[in-house]
Amino acid sequence: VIKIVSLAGLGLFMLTSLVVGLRVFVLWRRTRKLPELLLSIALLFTGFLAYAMGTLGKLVLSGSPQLRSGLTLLGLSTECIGVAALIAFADRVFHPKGGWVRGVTILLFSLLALGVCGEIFSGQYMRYSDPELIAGPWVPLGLLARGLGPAWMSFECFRYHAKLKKQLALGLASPLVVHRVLLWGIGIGASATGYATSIVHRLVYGTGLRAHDWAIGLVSFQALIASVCIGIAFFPPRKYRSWAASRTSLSDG
Amino acid sequence: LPEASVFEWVSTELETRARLSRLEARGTVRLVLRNAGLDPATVRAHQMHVVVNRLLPGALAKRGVEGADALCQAIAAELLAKKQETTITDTAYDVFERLDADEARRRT
Repeated sequence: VIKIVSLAGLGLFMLTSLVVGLRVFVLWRRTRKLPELLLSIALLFTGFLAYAMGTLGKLVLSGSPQLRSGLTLLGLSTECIGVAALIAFADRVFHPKGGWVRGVTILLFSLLALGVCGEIFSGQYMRYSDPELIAGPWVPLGLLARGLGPAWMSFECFRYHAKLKKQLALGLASPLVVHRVLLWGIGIGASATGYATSIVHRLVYGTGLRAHDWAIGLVSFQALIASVCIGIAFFPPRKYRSWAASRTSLSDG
Repeated sequence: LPEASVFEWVSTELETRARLSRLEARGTVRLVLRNAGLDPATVRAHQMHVVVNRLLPGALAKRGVEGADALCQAIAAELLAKKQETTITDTAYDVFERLDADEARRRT
């Protein structure tokens, strides 16, 4: 029962990623703008498809090694594509003129490629779908490389939020968008802490999170925060809109 | 005016009209933009218009520039006349605005 309740957070995260990802994809079909395409790929690939394939890989634990290996590889590649899209999105929307930040983007892409290649060529990628202990640095490094994507995105959201607050004081930004950027930062930051939890767990125990209910529970809680924040940021309910507006009038007064 | 030119244009105008050095003019504009949460490379004409009207006079007065208010009003008025459509439409703010506009369009 505890496991089922814990998994509800991960389920909600998958659902939120699917719904928001599809919504942004529909917007891209109309605008044909690159940020919308990148964001929809990031949400659908990392938040939904990678989890779905990863879960499937674990469910067929007793199935043929080839099937398990194939599903795990597919899940890992899907996750990497999603994270790469997230990095490209952050680069594009927060630093449209490039500059030194392009160096950070290239570094993150390189780490992502290095991490996944190391996991595949060392055969350690199979540790995502079996209960065996990890050997060598590749699994924690791969997780770190993939976790840096949402971590950077979250950092950029908080940085942008601080700038938007200054713009808000001059009437150059909408209070609702300012709040939504903050929520987005918290949501994607919660997702990054999920990666951090996985890394620490792997380093301490050598196994995946499923070895401990508390670990699944913790990541599920982080996923719950992520899904609620991202959900509200992209589909702000009427009450939230009024609350954001009232907070602005209070600060104006 | 494209975004980068907005910063360049205002800095040059300030250099000429307020008799500041190039470094002083650009530094002053950079500083007020930072205080407004804006970036010289991406600031848009309508944003710069607000900054020139509301923040720049104070910054110039601090530097001992006489008639800072009138000077800024003149620059702001010219900036408004030169204002054109922006070329960058890919900031995070724009993405949220497009989402909202699309949502509103769907509801009507």
